[in-house]
Amino acid sequence: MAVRERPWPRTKAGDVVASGGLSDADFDELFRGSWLSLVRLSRLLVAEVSLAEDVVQDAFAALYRRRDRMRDVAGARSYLRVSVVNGSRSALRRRRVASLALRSHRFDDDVAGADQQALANAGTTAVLSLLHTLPLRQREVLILRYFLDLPERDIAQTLGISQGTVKSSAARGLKSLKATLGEY
Amino acid sequence: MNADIEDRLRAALRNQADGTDSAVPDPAELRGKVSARRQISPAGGWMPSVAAAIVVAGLAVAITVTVNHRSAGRQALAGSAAQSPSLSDPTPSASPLATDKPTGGLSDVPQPTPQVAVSTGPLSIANLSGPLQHEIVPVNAWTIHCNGANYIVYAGQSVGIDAMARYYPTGIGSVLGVISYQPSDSHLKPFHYEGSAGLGPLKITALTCSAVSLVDTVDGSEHSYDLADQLLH
Repeated sequence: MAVRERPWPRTKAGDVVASGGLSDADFDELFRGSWLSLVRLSRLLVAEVSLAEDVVQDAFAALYRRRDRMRDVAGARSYLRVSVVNGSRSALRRRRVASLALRSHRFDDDVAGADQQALANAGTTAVLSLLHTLPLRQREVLILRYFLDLPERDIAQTLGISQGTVKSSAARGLKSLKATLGEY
Repeated sequence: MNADIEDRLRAALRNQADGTDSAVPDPAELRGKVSARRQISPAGGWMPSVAAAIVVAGLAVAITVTVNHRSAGRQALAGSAAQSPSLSDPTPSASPLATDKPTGGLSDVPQPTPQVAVSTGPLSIANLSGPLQHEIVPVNAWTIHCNGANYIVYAGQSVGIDAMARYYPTGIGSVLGVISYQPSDSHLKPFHYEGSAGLGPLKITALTCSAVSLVDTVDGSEHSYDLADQLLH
């Protein structure tokens, strides 16, 4: 099932948002509507729910401190996405040994039943384990493209790279996955 | 073939995401904490307060070490006074500084081991190291859950490391991370930090943690430590 953020509520006047910063009500709505999808995004990057929650919480705290500078909700969403990706990257950097362990298997905070495990071994876990062996940039590009369905332009903006780099990173990542998944 | 890989990747990512659940905290609480933090630190952000805390801690350690050195020097002088008539006169000098500067007999005295005094009452970041230090078995990679606000984590390979390693670069051990969160920054749940040691014993200098649990993320073993006894004396 695709993860979708809830559409932003419109004001009585019909405008999408009031310009010039976020009100507390705006913030709360954005928080409630985006929390889970951002945790899921971060979790795909860092492979641990509790760490993902910290990353997202930090992103929202930073957003709230800068709420006066947000032009609109779209800008706030974009800020959150960048903040979560960057925060996840920083968290991964601090956890290099654990990330090595990830290459061998796991998403350790999920304890699946035996039947689920058998199915997972053939599918999700295998793909995700391979995904985590890719260089960080390729992994980020693939997650943003295939999880959030972001267009190349938005991926480039989120990661601070060119669209050409997005394209080449995605191609290399898919090629690597294909080469290994062909064995499964 | 690419389409097949793309489909499998998309399905795997979404399966994984759908299996991830997270209770949405109360945004008002987060707002309140961020606002409270702002009032504490007019400069905004947590970096200034962390920097200030580190400077204060460094000064506190340095002062304590200096005091201990001086104290040891006085003891040494007192000890050698019996054999040294020139130092046996207990009359204090007119300048207090003069008594703080040992002039003889000190070269034979072994250098005292720096120690940091433990204060009573609520702990502050200045009270680093010494008896507050807690040594934990070597781990591969670790996750720390701390129910308090401030703590410092670092790894080293030898005993006797304390927080002074942070301020005396020649000290043994390397600092893995310095976390100094004020209560208003601790967000909505016990603070959580993780990293990797891999070098040797992991030491935690906990300041306001009353309990720390450490999970070896490689073998899954969990170690819990109650630091309350150490923190409250």
